[in-house]
Amino acid sequence: MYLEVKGLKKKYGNSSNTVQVLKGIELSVQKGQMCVIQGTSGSGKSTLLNCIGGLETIDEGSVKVSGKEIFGLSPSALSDYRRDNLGFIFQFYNLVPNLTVRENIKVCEYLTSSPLDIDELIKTLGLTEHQNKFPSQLSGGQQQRCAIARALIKNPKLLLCDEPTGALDSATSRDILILLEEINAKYGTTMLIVTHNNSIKDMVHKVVFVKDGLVVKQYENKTRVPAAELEDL
Amino acid sequence: MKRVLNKRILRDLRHNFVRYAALFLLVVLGMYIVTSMVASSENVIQGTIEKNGINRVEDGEFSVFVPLTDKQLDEIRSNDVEIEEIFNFDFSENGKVIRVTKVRENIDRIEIKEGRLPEADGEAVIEQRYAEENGISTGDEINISGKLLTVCGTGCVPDYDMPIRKISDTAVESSNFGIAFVTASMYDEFISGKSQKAQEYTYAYRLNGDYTADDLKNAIKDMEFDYHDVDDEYFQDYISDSLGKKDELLDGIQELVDGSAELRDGLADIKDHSSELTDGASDIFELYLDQANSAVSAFGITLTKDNYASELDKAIAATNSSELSALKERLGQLSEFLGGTKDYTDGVDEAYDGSEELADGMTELQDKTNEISEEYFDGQIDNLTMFLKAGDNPRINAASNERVVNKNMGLLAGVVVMILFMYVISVFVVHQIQSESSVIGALYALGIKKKDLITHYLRLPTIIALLGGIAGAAIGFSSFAVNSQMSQIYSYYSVPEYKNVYPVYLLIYCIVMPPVTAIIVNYIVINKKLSRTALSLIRNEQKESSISNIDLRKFSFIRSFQIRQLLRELRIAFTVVLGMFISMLIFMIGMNSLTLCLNVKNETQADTKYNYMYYMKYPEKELPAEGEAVYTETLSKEYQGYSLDVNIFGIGGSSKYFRAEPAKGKNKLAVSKSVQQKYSLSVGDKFVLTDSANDMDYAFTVDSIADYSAGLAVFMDIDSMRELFGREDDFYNTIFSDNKLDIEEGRLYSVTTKEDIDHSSEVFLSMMRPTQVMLLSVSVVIFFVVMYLMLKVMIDRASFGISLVKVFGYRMNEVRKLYINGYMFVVAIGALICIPLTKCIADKIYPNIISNTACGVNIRFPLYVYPLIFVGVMVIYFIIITLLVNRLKKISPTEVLKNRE
Repeated sequence: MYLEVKGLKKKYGNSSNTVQVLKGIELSVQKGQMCVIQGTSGSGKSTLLNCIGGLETIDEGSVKVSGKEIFGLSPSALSDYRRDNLGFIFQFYNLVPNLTVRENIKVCEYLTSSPLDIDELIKTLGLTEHQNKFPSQLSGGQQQRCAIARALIKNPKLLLCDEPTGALDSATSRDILILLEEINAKYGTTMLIVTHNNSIKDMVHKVVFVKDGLVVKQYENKTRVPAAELEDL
Repeated sequence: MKRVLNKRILRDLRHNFVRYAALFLLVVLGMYIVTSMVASSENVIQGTIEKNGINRVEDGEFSVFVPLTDKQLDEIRSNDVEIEEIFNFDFSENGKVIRVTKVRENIDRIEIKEGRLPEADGEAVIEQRYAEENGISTGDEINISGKLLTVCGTGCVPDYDMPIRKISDTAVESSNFGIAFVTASMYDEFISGKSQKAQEYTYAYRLNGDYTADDLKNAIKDMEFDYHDVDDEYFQDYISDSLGKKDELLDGIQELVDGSAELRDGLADIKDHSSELTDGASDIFELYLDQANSAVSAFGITLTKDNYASELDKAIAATNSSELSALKERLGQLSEFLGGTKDYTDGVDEAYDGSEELADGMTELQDKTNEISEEYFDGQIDNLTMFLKAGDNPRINAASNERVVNKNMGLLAGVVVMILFMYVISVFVVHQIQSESSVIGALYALGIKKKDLITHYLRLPTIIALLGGIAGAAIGFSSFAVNSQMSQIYSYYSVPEYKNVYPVYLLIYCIVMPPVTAIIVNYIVINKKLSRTALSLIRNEQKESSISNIDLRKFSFIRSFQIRQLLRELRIAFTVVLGMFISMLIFMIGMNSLTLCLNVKNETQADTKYNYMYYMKYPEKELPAEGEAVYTETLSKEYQGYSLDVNIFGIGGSSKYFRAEPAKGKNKLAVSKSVQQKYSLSVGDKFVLTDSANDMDYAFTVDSIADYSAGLAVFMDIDSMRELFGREDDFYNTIFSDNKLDIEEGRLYSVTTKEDIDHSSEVFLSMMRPTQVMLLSVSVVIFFVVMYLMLKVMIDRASFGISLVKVFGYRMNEVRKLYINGYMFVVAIGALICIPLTKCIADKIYPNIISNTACGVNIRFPLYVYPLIFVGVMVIYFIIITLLVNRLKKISPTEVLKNRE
């Protein structure tokens, strides 16, 4: 297993007011798989993604990525873990507003000694014309493409996507999902996609349902629907 | 709704406590500088006016050779002029001089600091600064001129506000000079039996009517005065020496008058006897003619005085008689004798007439010479030895005059700090509006009015500014701050204890200006920021400025990121540099003050190559063997409204004590470096000095610059100087020497030792230290606070980006490189620009601050100071960065999940 989560628990708040968000998550994803984590709002899916991404501390349990335990790592070790293994895509793109598209991508290119070819990537993502524009000059889809390019430039082993189409219209969402699909195929990138969009589950290898901090259901798609053919996005 | 918004104010304060605390500190510091400088200055300025009224400060003073008679005093008083004797004498012992004088009754009255006025003989009030420096207290006994006096009090008088011994002294030396005030009878006892020369006959006056100081001066000059009344043997020596030439001339003329009269009388006598001579000669001729007629009667001729020659020629021709020929010859000789006596007597008559004319002419010459001599001599020697208007007296209002400059500097400093404050709060406001943009947009959308939001956002900075102003003013007005500023006044000038004043304008300046500035700046910035639509605010749309569009592809990623960050936070970078500029300017003024004091001290000590300087009242004809004779004159030169004394030293070709080589010529000067700096002179410039006592201007040409910086001095060739000022060929009035010389005290105005000079050169340094410390420390604190605030705001504003790059796996040193290190270049480049720029500006400003000080303006730092200042700036930057790194560390990667830009 590339990603293995066992008995993951996470709570927020203080002693008098505690919310147990994750109550013992069990999850595993194979290398190169695209996995969707679905659930209602407040189910704990984003928290699960953040715990895997080393952005949130884990109270209990185990998260292993490529066999390496991240529970208990120091902040700087977590930082190195993210630097070496992860790519992030957010719902609201989170581009650095005062950097151009190209410069935003370079933010992550800097972190690796063997980045992908930036020009090729920009071309692949259809950003050649926009590479010197600032985020405010781009549409939502273009911004998300930029965010994807930024995440991919260092060729991460695990791509964590938090509602990657949440702020996009359906056509643009489809484009983004096609792109993710192509990347998965091309680079063999393992992807964990948090979404509440029910249609996306059909295009991925594995689907995990989270409810009230627990994995209530998980399965692997025997047949996948190409992103281009997804309905009701 | 308003109530709800108001609740946020406290939360906002708690959340941004450090920021508001620093802002508060900035206002406090700014207002502290203003209040402490201005309030202490106002204490002195207003206190001086008040005390001058109470103690009836003089309008001026004058000294005379011999005391004015009652009639002369009445004549002065009849012109509505109050006049009071402030006679005094100096008692010297162990290098200390106490000036003894009577307690003044109506003018320049004593302000008692401790104790009381003397009520009986044997008691004295001691001038307070001398008492402090020498540990003298009420009840102590002090020996003056062999009499033991009990100190009944200490105090000060308005005519010795700056207690210098001589008017020309530039620095106070209270440890060695003080004043003792005794009763009139005690004073009389002191001087009884002493010669006239023992005391200075000085009068203080107050003009109550239309009579002017010039009227008074002229009246005293015109008063009857016989210099023979002066019973000072040295004065008389000097006068007789000075008058020797005149007496010689008059005596010579007298001799000529006498001689010509004698000649005339002698010739008159001779003339009286001329007829006797001519009659006798005529008688002899007639007698001999009679004898001749008897002898020639045989020839039938009669000889007369007129025909004897022709008649005898005829007879000789007829007779060929040798006797007749001999007779003719004898008669011819007698006739010649007769003619000679006539010529002689005519000559005597002419000589007499000439001698009479000569005698008349000599009398006329004598009369004219006497007339000219009287006129010339009257101009030189009247009774007046010194006449000084209060405005020209450096002892009067000295503290107040000095403080006027401080007051103006304080007010200016306040404006400068307010400009900085304005920028700082504008940065805060912009940041706050941007960070709360979506909330504001939502509130707009919900119907909250812009006016309510402006009021809300205005409230906290306004309150902070108001409280900062109040706190700054309170600290500035506190006894701690005022006393620390006043201590330099009290430890230098001899002034009464001034009560604290609270000028309304200063209260308004300190308490009202900060909040009003906050309101204006905030209103303008907030109003502009809130002019966007609700949707634009909700989306937090940011306009990319055109400057952001620059192409940075040629730079490395890190460098281009840093540049982008700087461009984004241009306002912050500008404010950091502005803060640096303003604090650096204050720092440079403090440094200039420190440098000037150090340079004055070092240069004065280095340039004082003599051990003794004797300033002669009545110089001896013979110069002591070891001394170097110098002719000194003190003229004045105006500098920005202040009349400063400039000493002219007339020196010989190879002076041992001065590195100056003045060229020969009555209009040529070698100016000292201090004069060159003060008046910005170059070789070839004209330099006009004024002799205000005689209403004369002397125009000189700067011929060279002398390597000399002690006081304001210029040098002339001594012979040329003597010629210019109409002195004798061997005149001098100052002697410099390595060793102590044996000169009678009565001939001296003063003796100054190198030790005295060294000591007085240090006075500026100790006097200015509190101000220097305040300026230097406040400037560092302002710089620190502003840079800390701005970098902290920058980090707060960049927290999303920092969080984001942390998510991507950036390490702390890389985050620091991206977001903070760019500012290192801003600070470094800012420092490289600000250090020389502020130094130049401070150098332009500083001479105005010390315009009333008679010294050079050498404010050049040693070169190594500049890199040291730069290093200091960078050290402060790195300290701040170290503090802020904690802030960087605290920014969690999860922030990116909560917010978005």
